Amino acid sequence: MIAVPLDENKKDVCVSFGRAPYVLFYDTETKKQEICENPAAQAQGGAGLKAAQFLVDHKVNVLITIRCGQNAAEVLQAAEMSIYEAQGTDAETNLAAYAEGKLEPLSHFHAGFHGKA
Amino acid sequence: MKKLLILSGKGGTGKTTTTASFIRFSQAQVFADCDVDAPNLHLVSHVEGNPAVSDYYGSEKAWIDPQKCLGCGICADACRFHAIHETDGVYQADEYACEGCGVCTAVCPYGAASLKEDKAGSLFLYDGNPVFSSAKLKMGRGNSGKLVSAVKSAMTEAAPPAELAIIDGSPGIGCPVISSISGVDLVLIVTEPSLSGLHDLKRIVETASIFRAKTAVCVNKYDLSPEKTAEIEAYCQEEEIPFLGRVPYDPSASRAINEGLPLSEIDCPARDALYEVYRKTMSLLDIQP
Repeated sequence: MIAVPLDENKKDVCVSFGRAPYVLFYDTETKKQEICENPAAQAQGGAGLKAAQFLVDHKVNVLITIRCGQNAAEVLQAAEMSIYEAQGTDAETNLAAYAEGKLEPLSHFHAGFHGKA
Repeated sequence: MKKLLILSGKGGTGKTTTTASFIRFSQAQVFADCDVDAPNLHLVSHVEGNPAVSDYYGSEKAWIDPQKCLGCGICADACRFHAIHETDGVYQADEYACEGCGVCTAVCPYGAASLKEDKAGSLFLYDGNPVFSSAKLKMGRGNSGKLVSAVKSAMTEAAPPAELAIIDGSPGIGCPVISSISGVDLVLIVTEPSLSGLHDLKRIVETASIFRAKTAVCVNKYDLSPEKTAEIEAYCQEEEIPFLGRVPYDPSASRAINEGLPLSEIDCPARDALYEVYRKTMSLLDIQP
């Protein structure tokens, strides 16, 4: 299962992982896509952690994202999820690029935007 | 609907003045004030009627039931924020110090502590023509980013099919600013020719680029320092940021603004220069001015 955080338009990759309004799930076996609301988008705090848990619950093993914070990364890595860096704007192109092996693993995890790791 | 956000980095550069004038120039039907810490767009952008007011709940805070509290103080010892204090034999949580972590609810042997939703501000929505969304954050509350998201969603939900929405942002580069940037088509940064103006401009440009937002810059009160204005223009050129113009300092403009009139309503050189900035902004957004 592949996950991509989506913008309000449900098409483009969202610059935020934790507070993305939607998440695209792509089942690589059945080739089916599903767009779900991200329950973490409205979280009071710790949105990254909650979004990460949401992905783990959906049995995601590949995440394609523009960026990802340290706290979320710890959860994702504990679940042995592979994290790739999104390129360009829309999610479809990124799914295709991933299938062709053209995406690079995300190497930098930021410390968050609230001054604490 | 294209969304234009107006930011400045430094405070007091003329962000709200610019926003109010752009609202008049474009006869905007949809706008919002996302400066929830110090909203003041309503002072220069009058909207008829009364807004629908709703409470905004940001996070939860501890509440200790005085009927159940036996005064053991276990909660106060466990609270890492030192937010729980004893008065007359019972313990109470200080709403300003409480971070809502809930450790008191876990350690209280008598079930006296619970978390309650905390009102962190009010949302105001004028849902007519125009649609105007704004909010006020309560003192000491830390959920400004979330409140900004709420202001923007209220605006988008109430908006008629319009070509343009204009959003007034807040100074700085913190949570409410980042929250205001998400989903906008263009960020117009209004700066001023001063050491701090340029310094803070660089910080907001960097912040906007992290979130992949398209930016453009204009200088207000440019003639107060033509040298600094030249420095700002050189910086924009180096960073390949569209530079949309210079607005002169105009004492008559300041007087009118203090009377609650946007600059667009006064016949003066500053208004004409600002109109030119407006025209170029619309062209960047692919909108006919």
